[in-house]
Amino acid sequence: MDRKAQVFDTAQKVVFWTIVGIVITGVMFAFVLTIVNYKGKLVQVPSQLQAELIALRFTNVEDCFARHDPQSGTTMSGVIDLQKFTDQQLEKCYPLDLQTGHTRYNFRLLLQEHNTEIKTSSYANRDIFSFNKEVLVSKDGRLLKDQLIVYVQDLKVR
Amino acid sequence: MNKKADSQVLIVIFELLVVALVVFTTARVAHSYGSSLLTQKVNLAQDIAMMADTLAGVPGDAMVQYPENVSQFSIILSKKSVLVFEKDDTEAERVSRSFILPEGYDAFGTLQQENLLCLEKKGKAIILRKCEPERKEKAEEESKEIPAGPTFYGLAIEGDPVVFVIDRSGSMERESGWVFPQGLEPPGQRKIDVAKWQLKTALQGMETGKRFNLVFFDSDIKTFKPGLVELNDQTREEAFAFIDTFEPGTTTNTGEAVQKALSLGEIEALYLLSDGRPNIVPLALAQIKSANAADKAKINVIAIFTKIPDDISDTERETFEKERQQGQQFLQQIADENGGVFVTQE
Repeated sequence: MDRKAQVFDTAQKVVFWTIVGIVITGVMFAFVLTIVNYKGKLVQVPSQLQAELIALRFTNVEDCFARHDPQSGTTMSGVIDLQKFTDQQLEKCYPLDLQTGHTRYNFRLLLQEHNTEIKTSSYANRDIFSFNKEVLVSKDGRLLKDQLIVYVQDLKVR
Repeated sequence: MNKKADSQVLIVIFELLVVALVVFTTARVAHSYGSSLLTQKVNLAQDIAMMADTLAGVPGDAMVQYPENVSQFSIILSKKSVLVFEKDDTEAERVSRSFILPEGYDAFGTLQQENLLCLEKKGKAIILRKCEPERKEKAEEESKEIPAGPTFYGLAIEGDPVVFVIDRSGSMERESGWVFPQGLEPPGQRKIDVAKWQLKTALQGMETGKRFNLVFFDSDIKTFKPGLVELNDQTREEAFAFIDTFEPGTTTNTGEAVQKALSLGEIEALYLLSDGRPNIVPLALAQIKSANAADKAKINVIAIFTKIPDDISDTERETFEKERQQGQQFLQQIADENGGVFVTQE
């Protein structure tokens, strides 16, 4: 083999191994990315769960809609005080920022039997799921059975 | 011709170097990517945000303990968000998740590389703090059930005659993590100091007339008396003086120490205190098994492991935990095979 052919042969091999190196790197990256994506999917928290956890406060906490008895000082979990069931109270219970409120979970709460509905400030009628809670409604000193339907809007732009 | 062959060899070497370089670089990139803690940081931040949301929806006060070890991270909880980061993280590498609390509520707290994380709701405040180790609660619970008679590390001393076999290997120099019931304060921090104090307390509480002996061991084995002796004011004083002479020594010759203790006479109960395993575990187990085959003394084992320091690397922590696991396995086996009780603290 003359010198020229030898140089050509060497250069050819270097090019070959460089390409092989790049391909191996690419394959490794693809592999790692696939694993990371899979891992991410596995640990993803469902929106329904997150929304339900937030919605716990609506019926359990006196700073939201739960009835509070000033005489005994007790809060009745699961009992909604109809007087407090207003948009203003919802704003205090789940205060959304005007600028970024639409990026968060937004709620529309409907008391089915009483046909009373309230919404968070950035709710835009684009709810994607809903769930029910059996509640008691305190009205004029009486406790009445009702269904609280929680409609959830999640624009997924967090 | 030779020149040509040399050139061929050089080309092959060059090719091998290129391949090695590519493989090394790829493996390094893949490793650093795979071992990234980003996913854990995101999960932790998300979990804390959800815990805060949940606590805001719980009537009354409550506390949640995070089930994972979070010692790799620092965490800052504020009114609207939680920030999770590692020690050397840049601003961009920090992970933040936000949550929304009702008006009038507050959230605060910081945690720096602690094992256990607790979120507590007190009134309208959600507080991030380090959890109290469970062992303290456990010790407090146990303190309510202190045996009436003399004890050794909380274990009732039963049997006559009894022999105490005390490990004084080099590792007994380390800090004791043993938690005693309220009102019982060890005179020192080192495991050897705590062991000597517990032994003296036990002897003080044991009734006069009981036969006993003491064995201290590292690579060398020392006995208080050549045989079993009756406990009285004089032997008690002598025993105290004998105990005071010991300081942490060298290696852990558990097998021979127990063998020696069992050769002192017909012993009913033996109390072995140690903080790990010997160098040759099967030999020690065989020595104890053969020495106790005839007399069948009950061998109770108290395992006092080294308190794992907070400010150590993951590798050191792993070593500590591995040592502890092996030590526990060995000591538990001695108690199990010899009808005794095994006592330790988490």
